[in-house]
Amino acid sequence: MARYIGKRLLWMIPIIVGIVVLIFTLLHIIPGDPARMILGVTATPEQLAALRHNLGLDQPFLVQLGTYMKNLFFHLDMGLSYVTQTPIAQAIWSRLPRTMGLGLISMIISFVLGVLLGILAGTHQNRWQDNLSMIIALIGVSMPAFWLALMLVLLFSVKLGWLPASGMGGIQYYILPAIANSLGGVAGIARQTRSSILEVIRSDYVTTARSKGLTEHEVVYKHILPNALIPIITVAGGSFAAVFGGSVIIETVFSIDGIGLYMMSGITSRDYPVVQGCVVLLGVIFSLCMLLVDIAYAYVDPRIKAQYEGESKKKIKGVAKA
Amino acid sequence: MTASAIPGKKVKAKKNSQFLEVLKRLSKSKTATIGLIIIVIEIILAILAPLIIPYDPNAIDILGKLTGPSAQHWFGTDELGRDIFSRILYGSRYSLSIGIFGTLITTIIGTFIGAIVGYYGGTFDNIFMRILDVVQAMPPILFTIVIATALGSGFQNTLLALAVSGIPGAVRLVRGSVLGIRKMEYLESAESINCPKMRTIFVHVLPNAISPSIVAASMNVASLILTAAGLSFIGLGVQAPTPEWGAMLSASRNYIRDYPYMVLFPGLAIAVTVLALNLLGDGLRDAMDPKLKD
Repeated sequence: MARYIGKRLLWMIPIIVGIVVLIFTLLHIIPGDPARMILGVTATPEQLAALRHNLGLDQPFLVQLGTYMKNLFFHLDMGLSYVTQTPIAQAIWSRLPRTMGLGLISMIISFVLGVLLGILAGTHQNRWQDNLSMIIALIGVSMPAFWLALMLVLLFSVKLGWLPASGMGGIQYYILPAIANSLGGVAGIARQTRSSILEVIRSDYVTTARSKGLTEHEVVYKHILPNALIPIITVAGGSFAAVFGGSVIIETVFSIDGIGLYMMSGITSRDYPVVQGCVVLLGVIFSLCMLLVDIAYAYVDPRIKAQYEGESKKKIKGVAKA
Repeated sequence: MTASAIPGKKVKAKKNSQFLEVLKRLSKSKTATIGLIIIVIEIILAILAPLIIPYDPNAIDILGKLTGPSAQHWFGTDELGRDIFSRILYGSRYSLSIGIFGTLITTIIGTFIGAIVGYYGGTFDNIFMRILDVVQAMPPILFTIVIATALGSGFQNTLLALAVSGIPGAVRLVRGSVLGIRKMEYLESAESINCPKMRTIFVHVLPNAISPSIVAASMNVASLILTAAGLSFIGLGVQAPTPEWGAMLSASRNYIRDYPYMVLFPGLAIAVTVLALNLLGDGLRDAMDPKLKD
């Protein structure tokens, strides 16, 4: 198991380097002169040249990329914002907890609610519970999250006045954003859970479990669910991507000052180093989440576990024989 | 399955019947039929929009601004007195064409690359897949946002950004199903009679590996419409005053307290369209799934 995790961790290095190179290149090809953007139209050519030199923009592309990566990986330095001239890394770190908080709550809601709805639907195939869950799921995947967010604000903040419409503060500020952000994930996971439960529910071992006289609860949670979990985890991984990406839009709806909102401010003010830093960080966090998903796979899927444990057991046997 | 290796008319007959069979099975599903009908109606309305809309979607009428839904203005008017119903109807042209053309570009390029990568395999495949690993290590919407930032806003750039960011997924899907049939006997026989590589790929490999892509494409239209609306909503996609649905939502969100209908209708339009596409996609998947045959 440790070997599997180690291997996956090592594989993260080229992925992260790749993300940085890709984002840097994409944002580098944007037409326009950052120096002109910072100094405005009244700047003299000498001022522009001096600033370009200071920012390293007169260097060849590969040198710029190299410098950026060196600063990023060895000093955790993402450069200065064009607009505020303050360190980007610091601004991002201070906003990270809010984005992570929203992301984490949304993920938990997506997974728990999605799996529960899926179980309800799968174990009551073609009955009203199934139909109701699947209608909820279908509506969930079809609604734009930001529109749902606006509708929730309309109902719970404007009409009922129960929850704040936007801003930051205690847990009550996160309730509506988290619901809006997780509904798509809930729907996707519920649909997958239902179909993978239906696939295993007619297996012989489920019949055996029932005939042993186990309660329905035990049959579902000890025999059906563990075997249905692998495809569910795959879909859950994909939903986490949606949750993380979606938080960018949700943060702008609710004015939560997280990484998403910071990135949007960077986009509107053409502050590309800010955009770059935010995307790189979100990309890295997301790949770490996917790593966790892969490790979860290994725990759930005995075949992956056996592949690695088998090798070490063989080695132990070999040593014992010798 | 092996029919595609038989030359001549039989191949055509087989494909035809397969297509008809899928259609027949699709028509048996009530929900898929409803989805299909909604989409067809929407496409017709979008094409005819300039002829049937009651008001010019961009005609400003300050005196008649912010009036709620009425017999004259079914969905009310916005902050500049523009008729929201006309704008939504006209806006369907933008949303639907982003979804449909974006998916077409994604699917065609993705299928082309995926088939070649999957067929040749080896080092080439390996390098290509590692590049895709990097691209797909990012949440798709972030990748789209970066490309949209690089390309700039506007209808064409948004379409392009969405199409490009979908390609990695399409490549992976086609490659996977090509790998699945790579060792089939009919490919071996095509190779043994020295069939040119490109001909083998496009005549023998693709037709047998394409059905997952068709299902994915139908779902992709829905997700593109959602993403496009999201991009426009945060100001990166199609810009006001173009009556694209996401852009309309973005412009109207400041009025949500007093004029909620302004936010309600564009969102409903998106939700109904995407719901119909999802219903159709679900039906198509069931109809094309060989496991469910008989």
